[in-house]
Amino acid sequence: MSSVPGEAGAAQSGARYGEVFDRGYQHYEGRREGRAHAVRALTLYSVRGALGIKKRWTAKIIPIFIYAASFLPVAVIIGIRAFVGPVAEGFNYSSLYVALSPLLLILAAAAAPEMLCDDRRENVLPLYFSRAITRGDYLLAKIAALGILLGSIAILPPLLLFIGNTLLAESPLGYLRDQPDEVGRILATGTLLSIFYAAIGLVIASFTARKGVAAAIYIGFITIETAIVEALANAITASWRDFLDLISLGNVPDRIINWVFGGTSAVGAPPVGAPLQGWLYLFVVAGVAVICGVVMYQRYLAEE
Amino acid sequence: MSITHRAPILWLTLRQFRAGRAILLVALFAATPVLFAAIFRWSSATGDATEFLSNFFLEILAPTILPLATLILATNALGNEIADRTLVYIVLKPVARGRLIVEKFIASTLVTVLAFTFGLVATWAVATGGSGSGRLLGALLAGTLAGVAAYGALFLLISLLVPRALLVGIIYVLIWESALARFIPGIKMLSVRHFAQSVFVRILDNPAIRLDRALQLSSATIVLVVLVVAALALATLRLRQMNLP
Repeated sequence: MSSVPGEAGAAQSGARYGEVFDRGYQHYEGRREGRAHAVRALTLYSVRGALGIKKRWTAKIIPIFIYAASFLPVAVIIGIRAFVGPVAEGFNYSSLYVALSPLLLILAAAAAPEMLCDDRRENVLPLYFSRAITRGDYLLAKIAALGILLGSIAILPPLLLFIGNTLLAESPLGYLRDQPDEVGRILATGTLLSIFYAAIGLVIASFTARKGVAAAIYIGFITIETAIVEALANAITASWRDFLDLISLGNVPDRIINWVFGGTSAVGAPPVGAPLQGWLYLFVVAGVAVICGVVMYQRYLAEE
Repeated sequence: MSITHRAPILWLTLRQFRAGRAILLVALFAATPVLFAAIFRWSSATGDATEFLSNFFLEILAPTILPLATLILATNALGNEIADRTLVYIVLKPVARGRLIVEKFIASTLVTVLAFTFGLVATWAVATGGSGSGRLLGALLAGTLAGVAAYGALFLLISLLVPRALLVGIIYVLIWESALARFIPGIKMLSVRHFAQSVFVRILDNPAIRLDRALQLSSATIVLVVLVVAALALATLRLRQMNLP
């Protein structure tokens, strides 16, 4: 008694042996969305994953905390200004950015490993690369996702402050006329800080398997590297020590804030040597982004 | 009887650490002080080594390097067992939960303190040129031991409560111990960092080195011991009630 139905049928009816049955397998007839769609989907998925959407509640604590800490103070101050009058005169874009900078650091430390480490740890990268997505696309999607996430912290709260200032001014249109480039400054600072923190966070996350360890290395690296460079700058008396401030990574965000918003009172720790031109730090951010991008790409070329 | 029989979990944890790469990271953290000492020596051969080492301990080692380095192994010791779903196999063995916690704690503290002992002796030797006072070295090591033990017990407890303990620990270190403690003096009294700094300052007993509101050595020690015991007891309670998959 054979267990294969086709064979049994063939034996009984005496029909041709080895008939091909139509089991209903079909070609995919739908639209093929292509690489661009795959990158967009991966970006969205990464953002949602880092925010803890559709994950257990412990994964949501840190994003909720970060967003609350970045938006609430601005909202509260605008609310008090609206109802009580001018308070907290010292609260401007520079001081807001100085407060946002450590939040960006923590968010990058939490989100960057979330995006890269699990995929390597659980060996799902081959599944990604068997789709219409290259290694470059994969990294691009991850960079875009972290950039969007950090940008939402680095741009939206100052923008909220700007809107509040505009609406609370004596004449909103006059305020807009007086401050034509405020929005541009906010966008520039937010973008630069996001790129800076995201690049370093992702490159460190691409070398570690455990998420927590990547976060510890990230924060430890930035704080200790800054302390070492400052100690070195203190030890050197030659004039080129001023340029060491360019590689003390923990201070770069403060310098950029000072450069973009100028202002009379500089924020952050003063440099050890003479202050440098602000635009030099633009090259620091660009250099960090390029180096991190290249290192990450090389790393993923070697990946299975 | 060998250590494998007397303290099996301790032995197991040490072997796990040896197999992993986290221990390299701890060694790296423990070695950074030597770099600072080398820069100090290179810049000023005549500078006061005691002042440099004290400032270094109070400003950089105790607030940043020590908690970060301790975090890694303390959260790894039990956190990795949970993440890899191997904790259930250990719990099934006839080992009391309290003993499991204590042995895990001892393993992570032992390795971290050992790494820092090498690092700090080298740092002390480089900074003072080998002619420094033994008291300074003793103060450095005692302060480090106090900090590592307290942070280690605290983070071991956290690693049983939340899955991403390392990150939560980092945020605790950054926000509670650094930012808030700087602005609100009351919180400063309640930070592990302050107790470790107090131990250091009191053992050093140098009138030139001051710490705001430093505790007496005896009270700092008592608080640290109570903290460690309480954290380990809470961790034991938590492990007893945990739902292991």
